[in-house]
Amino acid sequence: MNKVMFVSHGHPKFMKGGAEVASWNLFNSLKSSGYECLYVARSNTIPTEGEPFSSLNADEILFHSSIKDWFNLSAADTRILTDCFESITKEFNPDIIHVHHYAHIGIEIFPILKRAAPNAKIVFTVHEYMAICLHNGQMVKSGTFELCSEAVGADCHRCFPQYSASDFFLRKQYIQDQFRKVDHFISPSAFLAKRYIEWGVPATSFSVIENVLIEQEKLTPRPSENHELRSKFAFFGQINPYKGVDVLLEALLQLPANVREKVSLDIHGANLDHQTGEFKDKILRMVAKLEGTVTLRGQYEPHQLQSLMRETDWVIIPSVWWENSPVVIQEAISYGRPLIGSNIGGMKEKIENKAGLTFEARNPSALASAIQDAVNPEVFDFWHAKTGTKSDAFGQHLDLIENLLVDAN
Amino acid sequence: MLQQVKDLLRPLKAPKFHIDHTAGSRSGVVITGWYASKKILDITVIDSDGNEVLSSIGTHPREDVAAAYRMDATGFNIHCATATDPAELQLSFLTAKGKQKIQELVNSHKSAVNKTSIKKIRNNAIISKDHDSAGHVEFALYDEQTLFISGWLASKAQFSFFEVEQRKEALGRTDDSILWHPRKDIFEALKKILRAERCNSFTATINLSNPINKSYFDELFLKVKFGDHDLHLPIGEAVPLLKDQKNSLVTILNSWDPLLHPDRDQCIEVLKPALSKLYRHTEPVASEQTFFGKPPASPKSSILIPLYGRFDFLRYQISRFSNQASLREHEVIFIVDDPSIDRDVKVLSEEIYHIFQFPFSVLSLERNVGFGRANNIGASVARSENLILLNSDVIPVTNNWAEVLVSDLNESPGIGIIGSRLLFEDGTIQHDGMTPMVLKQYPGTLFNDHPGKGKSAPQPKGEQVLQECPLVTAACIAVKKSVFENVGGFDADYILGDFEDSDLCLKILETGRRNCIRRDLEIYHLERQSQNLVEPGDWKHRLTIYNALVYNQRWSSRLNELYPEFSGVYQS
Repeated sequence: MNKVMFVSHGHPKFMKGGAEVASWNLFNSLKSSGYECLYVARSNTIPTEGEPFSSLNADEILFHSSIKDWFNLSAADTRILTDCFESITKEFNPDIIHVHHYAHIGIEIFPILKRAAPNAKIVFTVHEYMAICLHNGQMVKSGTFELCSEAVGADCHRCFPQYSASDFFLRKQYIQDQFRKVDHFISPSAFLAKRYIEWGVPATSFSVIENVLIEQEKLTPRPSENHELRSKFAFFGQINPYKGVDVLLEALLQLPANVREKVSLDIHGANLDHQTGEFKDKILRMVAKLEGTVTLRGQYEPHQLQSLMRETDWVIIPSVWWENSPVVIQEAISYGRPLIGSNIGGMKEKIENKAGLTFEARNPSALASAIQDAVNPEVFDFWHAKTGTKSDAFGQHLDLIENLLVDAN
Repeated sequence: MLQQVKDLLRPLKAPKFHIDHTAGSRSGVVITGWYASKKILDITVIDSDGNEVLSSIGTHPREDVAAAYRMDATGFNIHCATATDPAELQLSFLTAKGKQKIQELVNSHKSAVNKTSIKKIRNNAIISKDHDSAGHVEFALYDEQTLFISGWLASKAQFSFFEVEQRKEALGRTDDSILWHPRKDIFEALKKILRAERCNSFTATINLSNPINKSYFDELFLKVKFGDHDLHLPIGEAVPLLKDQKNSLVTILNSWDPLLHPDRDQCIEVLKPALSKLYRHTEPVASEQTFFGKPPASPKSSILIPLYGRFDFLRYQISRFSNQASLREHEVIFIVDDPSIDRDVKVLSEEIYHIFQFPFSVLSLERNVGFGRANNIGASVARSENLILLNSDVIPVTNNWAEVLVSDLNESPGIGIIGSRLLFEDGTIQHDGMTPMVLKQYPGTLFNDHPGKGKSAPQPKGEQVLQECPLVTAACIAVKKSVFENVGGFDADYILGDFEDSDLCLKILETGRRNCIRRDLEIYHLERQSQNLVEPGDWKHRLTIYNALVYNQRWSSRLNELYPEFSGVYQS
């Protein structure tokens, strides 16, 4: 039986980020298809004393690691990491190792895995631009938040004056050296893949395959009276400066009063409390002005998503950074909810002409005008009809794995 | 143990602040630099009247400074919108102790002499009113054979010679190993009490036939012999030349102004005895080689990489080499020319070897000997007949770069050195062969120019791929070990790394070989990264000039033949 080992920077039981959930879904789907799989996840806590890792289940392992140098993305203790993966791979003997992130682990995970299991194919799924951009992998200028389309040493130095253009050159060389140990790259969006290829990863080693999502039944539209406006909007996700909630609130403030009184927005988002005072105050001030229109509904659990979608007409994704393939877009499409999204990066790729409306990113009045279009029941019906398509992501993942196994044997 | 004490003391020796660069901009002045985070509370730009000039000040951590001095350092970028000349602006630093420190943005020569300095000059001077002469010794450095001394003299009479005298016994004398230059400030300070006709500062080297006895510093004098009288200037406690290598180097260089002393041979005559002893070229240097992994049994080349100051490049180089399969047939030796980083280099080496499993060795030198000699020592332990000398901030991209250099070396017996085109991180040319160059300020001296520097690198065609080129930088060269050692390796007369590469090129040309440059390898050189800490004062600039003088003294006629277009330089 073919064996696939997953390496994730978090276990979805403890951390429900996009990369964790995507790798977890693929892990479970592969198991159901008859592959022998092992899920190895980094944990925040140090496992049992004296052991480099601990078992959560027969096929789930937790290990601990950290990064000591976030500039080079270099691991704090490569010796422990090596010991850990040498004993795991020795026992499991994988044919394929599927890495889903190196954050909090260290970029040296690639040479370490290659050495521990020289015959296994290493597959790596990129989830953001961390290797390219020091600014949290966002490709947005530090300070000004301008969109950035290429990491040029001299520009990176302007974002981070403490590092010279040469330092950025070395960082890139070092990260690319470690990427050479990867046999195949996967990107959930063509946009993200293009950025990595432009940056220097060979195009031939890239496949664009969506994250595996647990498929949902398409919901019927929210029950409504004859010609009632499709005016119930929702935002899902973190509330932080990259996600554009401020753009969304500003757009609502710019709506003509007679439109605004018919519109409502539910914000299902976490972590506003973790934001800096200035940003948090700005959001809360705008929410206060929009009393009656906007409701902060806080964090939600995955099992609540279906009912939250059910009470919604449109899902809005107003991010001010490029995004990759936001899971909320996949979920909305799966549940049959059309989207309004920024016209950049992964959002444009996944929404435009496919699942709803796009607007000029960062422009509240453009978003306001998109919202006015969207409330029209005919516009809603047009886009609702296009949603609910089934993704074939898992089939494509299977094909890729099969091909890699043929190469290996 | 001693090293730990030295490391502890490092922050104490560090300057509190430093201005890296001041430049005029379209709208005013841009100033960059750094300060010790714990010692400086605030910075402001002020004008010559002490009034604050409005500026925007951005700060960021400076890890390079922190690493060099082991203290927290804050970098600053100041944008100052003003029409005032930068020469009239100053930076005011508020120290943690509440004191204000002023730093001028532009080093201006202090012209006017104020009252306190007049008093100081008069108090320090030995004055002979009968003969209208006066003088003072500012400092003296000595070892067994040499006294390097600096001070000033004012007199009416003609000067004849200097003599060192201790307990009435003459230890040595010089008539002309002396550099003079006028000191108008002292002349002004003394003119009311003396009728001197000339007033000069002096910097001199005196060979000692008998050594100085350090028990009798109070009886140690510089006897100044004038036509009609002697003046005895107390030397006091002279400083042993080798007590603090770096401090002596800076002191010596700062007592010399290359712009004021056009006579090349005389400058060398005065400076060389002390400078060359400072770096004890002849004394043996203990070294110890530590192996990480097993090197190849018969390496195709020995790649020698000196480390000084910044050493994290080792991570990037080994990571890269480990990805270049053919490099495993070569031997990589890092030469630690800086005992203060030796321990850290070994800790990093352990980690890097463990990750990348690429074998290399670390050759630790017991003291800092400079780039040239560090390479010579590295060559002596090299096990291959082919040497590749590489700077630590060179990152090769072409996978078989070392193979190409070595095969060129093996296949062309007439070849001496093979250099390589090198690129900056933005892909523009850093080095594409060197040629001589004249600097306006230093007529009669040839420097090394890097033609094409900063320009885009055109694809080499035909004969450009491997072309004859007499002078190449040593940042990346291949040379036969026997050829390198037969000419004595890098010459030790150049202090701390300048011109020894072009000197080596010329020495090898003298053996009848030709040097070449390879242009089709993609190799990056992040120049100046390994020594990006510019120290206060311009002693480094003076050191470059000194090395240039030594280079020109030795090679002017050969350079004349090779580059007839520059022959006019030596005729003037």
